[in-house]
Amino acid sequence: MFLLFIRTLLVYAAVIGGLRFTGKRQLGELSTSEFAVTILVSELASIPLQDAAVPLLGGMVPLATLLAVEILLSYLCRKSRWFRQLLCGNPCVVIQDGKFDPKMLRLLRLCPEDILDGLRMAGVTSMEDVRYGIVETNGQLSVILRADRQPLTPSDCLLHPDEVGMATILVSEGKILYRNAQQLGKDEQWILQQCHRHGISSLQDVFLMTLDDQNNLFLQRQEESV
Amino acid sequence: MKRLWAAIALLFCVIAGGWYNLIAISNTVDCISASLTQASQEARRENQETAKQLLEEAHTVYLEKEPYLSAVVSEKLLDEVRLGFARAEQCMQNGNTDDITIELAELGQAVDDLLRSEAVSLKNIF
Repeated sequence: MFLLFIRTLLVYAAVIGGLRFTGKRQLGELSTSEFAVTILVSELASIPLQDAAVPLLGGMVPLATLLAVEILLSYLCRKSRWFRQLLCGNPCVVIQDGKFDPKMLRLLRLCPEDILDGLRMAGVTSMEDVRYGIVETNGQLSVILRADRQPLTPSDCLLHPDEVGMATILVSEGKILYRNAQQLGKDEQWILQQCHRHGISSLQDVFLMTLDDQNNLFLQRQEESV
Repeated sequence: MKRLWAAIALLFCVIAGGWYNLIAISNTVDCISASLTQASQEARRENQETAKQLLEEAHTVYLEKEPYLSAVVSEKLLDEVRLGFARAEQCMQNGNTDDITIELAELGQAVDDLLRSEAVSLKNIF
């Protein structure tokens, strides 16, 4: 068991080291350590299932070790900038003012086509529109457009639309969610009042009732549901 | 923060459990090996009855610890030990001293392998 613990730590370190070495090409939306845990856990979980001769602890100990170390590493990343850089690397600027940085592309072992793919996925068709293109630590491409290519927003037109509230469910399929109601400062009586106001006599007839922090109420009856 | 403490507690449990497991297996193996060594010496002295008694003692200790061992050691290694006990007991009944000594030595190896497989050594780690 202790041996499994040490071996798991070593394999985990080796996988993280390997992933850091291969760079950002291998990653998706996960950080390096999360990606390492994901590929290891999927394998580990199947070992005791496939082979009955292997004790269950043979899978459980490495699993517990990996998950616990992952939480510790994420804590260390949060606390130490140096450790975060060591484990996750830095974001890399690959496009600046509409021009590729060939040195950075070489370093990341990416070709311009890879970046152009990312730009197209971000809805950008022209390199000249891009102020910055950044390959993030999880391997994703962030695109910051030039100011004159940014989408128009209400504030550009000096408009001040009302804030949009976040809807919270108060009643779901006839049942009151008391915690949500409490958070919004409402009680059962208030909910019943709203039902009566909308011509509903019983909570059982309510399919969904939501309320946002701007006090916009949405109510759907049971029979209205598809 | 709760999750961090849970992770620290989990790691502590794994390390403590691993340490306890190493000590428990070491004690079991030492206990069985001591009986088997004595049994082997008694067999060489043509003292079959005492050798048989010591082998039975070793087997009893093994059977007592078997449920725990099954939870932490591979079944393949435990099968070797079970087979070793069966063969040694068979030899004891036949009464051939050389065969008994050989079987006890092989059984001793199989029992030692239980500890070797769990020992924290460079050979095991890599």
